[in-house]
Amino acid sequence: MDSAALCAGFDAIGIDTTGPPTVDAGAASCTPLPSPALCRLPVEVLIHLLSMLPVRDLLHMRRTSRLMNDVSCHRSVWLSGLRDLISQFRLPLTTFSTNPYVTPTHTLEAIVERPLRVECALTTFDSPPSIRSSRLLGLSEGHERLVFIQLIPGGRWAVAANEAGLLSFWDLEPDCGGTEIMPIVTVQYPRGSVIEACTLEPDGKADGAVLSLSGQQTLEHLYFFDIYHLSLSSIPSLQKLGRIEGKTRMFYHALDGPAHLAAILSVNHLIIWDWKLDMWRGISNDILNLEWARSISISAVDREVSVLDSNGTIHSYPIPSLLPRSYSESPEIIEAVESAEWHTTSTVQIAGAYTSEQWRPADPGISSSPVLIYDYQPQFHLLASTRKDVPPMSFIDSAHREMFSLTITGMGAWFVTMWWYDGDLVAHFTRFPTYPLGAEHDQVTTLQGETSRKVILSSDFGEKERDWVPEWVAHSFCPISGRVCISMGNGTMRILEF
Amino acid sequence: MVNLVTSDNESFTVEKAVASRSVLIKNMLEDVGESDQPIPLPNVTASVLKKVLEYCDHHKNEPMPTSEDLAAEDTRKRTTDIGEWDQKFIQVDQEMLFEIILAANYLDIKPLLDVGCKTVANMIKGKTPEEIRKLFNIVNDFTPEEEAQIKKENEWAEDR
Repeated sequence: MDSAALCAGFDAIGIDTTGPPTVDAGAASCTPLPSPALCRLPVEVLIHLLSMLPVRDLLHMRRTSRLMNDVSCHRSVWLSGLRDLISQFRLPLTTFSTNPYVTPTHTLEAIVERPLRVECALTTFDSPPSIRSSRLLGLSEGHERLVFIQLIPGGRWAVAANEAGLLSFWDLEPDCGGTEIMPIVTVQYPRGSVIEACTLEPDGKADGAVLSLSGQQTLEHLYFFDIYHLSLSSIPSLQKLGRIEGKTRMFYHALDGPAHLAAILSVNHLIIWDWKLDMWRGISNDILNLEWARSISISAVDREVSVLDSNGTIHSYPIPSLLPRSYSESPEIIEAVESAEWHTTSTVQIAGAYTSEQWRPADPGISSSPVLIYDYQPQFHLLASTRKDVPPMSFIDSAHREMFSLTITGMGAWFVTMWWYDGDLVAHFTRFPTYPLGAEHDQVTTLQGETSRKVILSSDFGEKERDWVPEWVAHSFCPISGRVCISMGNGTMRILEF
Repeated sequence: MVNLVTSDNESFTVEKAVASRSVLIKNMLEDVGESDQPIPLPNVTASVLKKVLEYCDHHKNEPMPTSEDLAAEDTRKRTTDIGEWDQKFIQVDQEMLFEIILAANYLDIKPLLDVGCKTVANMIKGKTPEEIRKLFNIVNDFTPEEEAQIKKENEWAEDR
């Protein structure tokens, strides 16, 4: 091929070789550049450029001109956004979309924008967050008497178990609003088991969730089910991951999906079990009088397991790194945080979570899993972390007296409380403050009620839902999808979305 | 050695390893085989090519990115992640920045295209639509109705 033929080839590529286009004199006279150089970039380069922008900046860019608006609506921009979402939250693709290649672009856009929408709704203080949709979750006949309900991380699916050994799954996408959603799939689980926890293991051999089942206070099995099957509305088979033998009378346990670790607290043992490799990562004897332990949490990020005893002291144990099967050693307490003044606590919870780094990557924030203890009245206390560079906190909201439930969620960035107040079900969404790492704090930070967003969840509840005195409310909140799932003891379940 | 001729008829003689950072030139060299023929680059001026070759020369010994690398790349997360040398290299005026991006796209030098786009993305970050227009001299060509509509649809994401 000679050079003339190569030249012809270039022209065929369609690249403008005639130099910069002319611009209107008005724009040129008042600015140093002869033409908007950015707008001269070929569309494929602009798409590439816009794909690099965080959602908020992308939406700002779209408002600058028609060209940018057109480019920002391009499918590849949002496919790339979806890819970022998956890697940012370490969740499988099927959490967001069964097949993104057939999902309409505007739906993709809605999925990608959602975490920011939720963030904006819950952190904007000049207007109350509005509930975009409120739907009832229906149950098939014979599936009532729920004992467990949870949103599977990512918020696309809700899972519930009832006394009769049935697991029901609901697909919450797409949000068609207003209507009652029926379960897509129902599976029988082993009789006599009690479902305790559900976690998502995105790095497994298939995208799946892990359920722990226990029978008569013994953690018998962990079960795995493939959520890809759920996304196809086919029945996911429950696959046994392993049986934890020889340790009876389990009191508390915690699961960490991405790290495939279970921490189990027995009478005088702390067991850390890797279900993927089917091996013990640590067994400890006589580390503390565990009969008095109240709660346990696991944080693979900090590589520690925290146990709260009834004296209000939190004991943290390191998770040993990968070691041969024969490993069995007593981990030493790496840190014990005294919180003696809180020992009157009647309800205790430690919630392990991921770093807020994953929730908001730009934010140095809390690098450790928040640990939370609450005390009933008139205020509750929380300890944000076992780390010294995150101060202990207390949260005061004297207006509310009857709190049913409280969880740390959003990968450690949020905690949610539910109250029954003046005839309404009220939720408070509070964001953990962030602190520079490395500093030492000795003062308790007080979070006032006004730092949280109050949302009346019951504003559009039906007669049946209002007409009962609530004794417990189970809820689950997913900040990625903005969904809250509530179950109110009388068999009514709702999915609310911000 | 490879001989490159720019649109303004300046000729550059560079090592094959340097010129081959451009996938376009690399493919051409493979097609043509050993030849003393100069390669015309009718879309690139001498001043831009000089800059591009400076980049190629600095990165000539690095492995070429494979298509798998490109697929696995997490664009948004790495936006601010520009190497030290590259950051210094890309500190040019806006006109030159966009010329480099255009040249990198035309010559098919993906890492340079990324450095350029990341730099522009970093300039956009945290700015209001009006600030972005001003920065890049973008003409607002929406009708008032269109502008009101698009503002309404997207203002939920305003930083407050």
